[in-house]
Amino acid sequence: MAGDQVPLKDVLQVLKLAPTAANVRIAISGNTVTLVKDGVPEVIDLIDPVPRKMLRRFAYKYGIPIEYFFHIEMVIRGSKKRQ
Amino acid sequence: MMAGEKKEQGTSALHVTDGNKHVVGLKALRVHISPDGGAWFAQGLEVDYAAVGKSIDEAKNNFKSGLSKTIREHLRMHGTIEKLLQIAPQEAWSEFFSASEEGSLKLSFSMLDVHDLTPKPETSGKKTAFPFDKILFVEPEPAHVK
Repeated sequence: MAGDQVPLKDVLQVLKLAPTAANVRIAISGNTVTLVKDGVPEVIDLIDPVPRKMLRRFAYKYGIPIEYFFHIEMVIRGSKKRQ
Repeated sequence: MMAGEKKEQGTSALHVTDGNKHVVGLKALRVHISPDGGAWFAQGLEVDYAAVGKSIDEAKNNFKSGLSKTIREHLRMHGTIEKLLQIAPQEAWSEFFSASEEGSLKLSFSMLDVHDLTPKPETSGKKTAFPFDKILFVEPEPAHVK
């Protein structure tokens, strides 16, 4: 897997476009992300680039596969197909 | 307790409310700050919250401000912080106990946060900002003299 960090703009794009479970909601304002799972909110201020441990957290806690962050084209392609 | 024995401080949380005003305190929450690539990752243990920063200070500040915003969201959505009080996953605890003192930082974090969730009064339909998003400055054209 390439690199340990991912540019913030790519992470935000994945969070916007990636299909998430029905019990997960994501809102983005600037570099602040609000994630809500099963009614439990979490607000995180991100930095650019976003380090790997935070991406791993998005994966285990919110079910967003970590590969998506390193291969953003997969997410964009999937999003276009769904449209 | 034996002489010279170190008393271990337990983690505790406090929530006092009076209508829309809330005071939330967290005492002696363990936070593990570890390097991650060129950045720092701060992971709470007794409360599963995490933040990142380009320096240790930024990771600490983002942890504090992000946790405060998270507490506010909990209060806004549920009126309590009960759902916030979830411990970190096993992986985070293992990393905390196996980490060396030189490579990472183990902190005891305490905070007292006041949140006023009283709805802000409407300005009776009056807009306080300009009703447009740009101001265009137009240079006056020189007058034509015949």
